[in-house]
Amino acid sequence: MSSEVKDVGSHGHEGGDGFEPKILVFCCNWCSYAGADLAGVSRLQMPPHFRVIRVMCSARVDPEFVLRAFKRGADGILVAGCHPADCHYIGGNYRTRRRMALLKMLIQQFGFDPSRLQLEWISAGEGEKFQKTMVAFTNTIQELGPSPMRGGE
Amino acid sequence: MKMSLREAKINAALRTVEGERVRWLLGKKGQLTTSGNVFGEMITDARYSFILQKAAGVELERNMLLLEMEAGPRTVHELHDATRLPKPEIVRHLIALKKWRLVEQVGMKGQSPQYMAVPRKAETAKGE
Repeated sequence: MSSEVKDVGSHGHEGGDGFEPKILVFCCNWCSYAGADLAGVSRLQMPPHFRVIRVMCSARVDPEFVLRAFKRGADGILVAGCHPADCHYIGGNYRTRRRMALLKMLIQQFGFDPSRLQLEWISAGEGEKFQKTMVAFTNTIQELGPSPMRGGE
Repeated sequence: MKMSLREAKINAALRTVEGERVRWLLGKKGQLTTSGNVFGEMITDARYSFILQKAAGVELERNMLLLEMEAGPRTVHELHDATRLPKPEIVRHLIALKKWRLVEQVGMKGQSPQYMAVPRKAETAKGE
């Protein structure tokens, strides 16, 4: 997984005509990854700027992964997990919620906009929600511009 | 913000989230806000968030100072130049870090004492 986080720094599309964001999406195996799969199978149109990393639970997303990804140049990170009370491991998503609140505070300390990090609950049947979330998140990141680690503000 | 300072802050944040204090606080939320601590004292969600944010902020600053002092002996002025933290705040952190034996005074540079980080146990064991 750390190699995938590392890769985010080298697989960006830096087009000459404009900024194309590098977005990392952590999806929980039981809900959000299935939701992402459903969105793909349903052929819903989504921006091509994100890379999905499947984790067994959103709580598997260590705050370290998020910080390392930002350090290596990710413009935005979305963590998607099961809805509250639907976690396959009973309470993993509650832990994630606590960590994300802390991380949002931490990333502001080194000049990142907190909206570069987002937590979303997406169930296996919510392919459309996944697509809408990705479109909205990509638009937000495009408005914010490149990450401060890549010369943005 | 300079890129080097930003990177230093990210490294300090990495150490903060790995650190015992923040991990413990994150893991104890349910207990602290519902059943209370060992004395039966409960805190509200808002109070918990305040404590967590304050602890994380303090740990972040202390880790920035520690990372700087791991590179070599530093005076308070040098630490201020490297981290942009206010000098009184640096002194307060140094007192706490000395108390926990994470830093020690190693000499003087003119009138200013120089401090250096004490190598951590895990790193010492790795080097042997």
